[in-house]
Amino acid sequence: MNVQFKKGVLDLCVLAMLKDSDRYGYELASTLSETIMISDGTVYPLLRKLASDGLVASYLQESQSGPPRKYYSLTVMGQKKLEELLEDWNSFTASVNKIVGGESA
Amino acid sequence: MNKKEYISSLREKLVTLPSNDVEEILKEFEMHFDIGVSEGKAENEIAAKLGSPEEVAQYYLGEAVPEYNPAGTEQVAAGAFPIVPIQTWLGRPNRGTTAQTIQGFCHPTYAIPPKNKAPKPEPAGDTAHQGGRAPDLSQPHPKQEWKQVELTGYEQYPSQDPNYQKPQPKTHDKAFAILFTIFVFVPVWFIALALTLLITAWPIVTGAASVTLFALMSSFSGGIFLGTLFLAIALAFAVIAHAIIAFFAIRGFILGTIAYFRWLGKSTTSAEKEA
Repeated sequence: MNVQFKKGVLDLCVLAMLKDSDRYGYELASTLSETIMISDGTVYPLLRKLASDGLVASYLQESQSGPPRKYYSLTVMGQKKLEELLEDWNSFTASVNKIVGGESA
Repeated sequence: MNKKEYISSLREKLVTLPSNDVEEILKEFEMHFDIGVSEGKAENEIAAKLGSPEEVAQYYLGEAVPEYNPAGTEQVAAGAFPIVPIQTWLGRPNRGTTAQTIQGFCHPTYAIPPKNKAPKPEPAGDTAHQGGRAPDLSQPHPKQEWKQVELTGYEQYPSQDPNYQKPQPKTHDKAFAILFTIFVFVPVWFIALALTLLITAWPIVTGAASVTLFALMSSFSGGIFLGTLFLAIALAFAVIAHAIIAFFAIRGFILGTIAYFRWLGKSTTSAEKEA
């Protein structure tokens, strides 16, 4: 997948994944690396950036089985940002599809 | 690469960040490894999926492209971090590393790591620019346009300069040597000689006086005898003291004279050689 595409939507993907439930870094990393082909290590810097922007919050949770996990959750700002991004994404893909579809038709 | 190696390698790469941040970041990667291992994965497998420590560090230090690089073999953009100049008490970079440091900073692949760790929030409304900038690697990075510097900094340590020429001893021509000898050296030498002779004569005179007093002592009687005895003894001690002074005076005079002729010979010879 094109690098430019990926970096544009990574934030959106992470925020979207956190919309319904809190998730821990490993979970986010393995899901994202499988679906949009990025290395696991790139998710953590991204999470850190989102946290410093105040879009996500993190907390440490002991697991019943296995090592402790750092969970990330969406903040109110993060929810707003997600809505904005989704709107942009939808209108953008819609217009791109129009052009791409229109040309091919 | 196992967990330990990966973490320590990443720690090295993140050295420019505040240590609190580094610990936080590394803690998260340790957890990542632990969770992976608890799911039955091998450490080197997890490390490979993370991407190379160099690559990961790039995301933390500045902007880089999220790129799928599971083998973790390819490095992103910048090369090794250049040697950091060590400040000496003179407030100058350590000379031993200056050249390498400047070369390092001038190297086209070197980008300055950002000083503040938190990226500034994007201006509102600009959503087309998310998730880290993607520098076009075929173009020179704006931060990397360094001037090539000609290294001339040998002022402090001229003898380290490859073009350094040892200063030649001062020379003068023969006429100067002759005139200097006649008008400066000879008068000074004669004065010194007179003083030396005077100093040398002193113990001889006092010695002679002492000996004379001792010799005459038998012809004295009563109070005069004892007075003469003490005077003679005092003079004998004076002779010893004066003799020591005289010894050093003569020695100094001789050595001084020899040194002068040596210096004269040396400097005039090299002047002739040059001419």
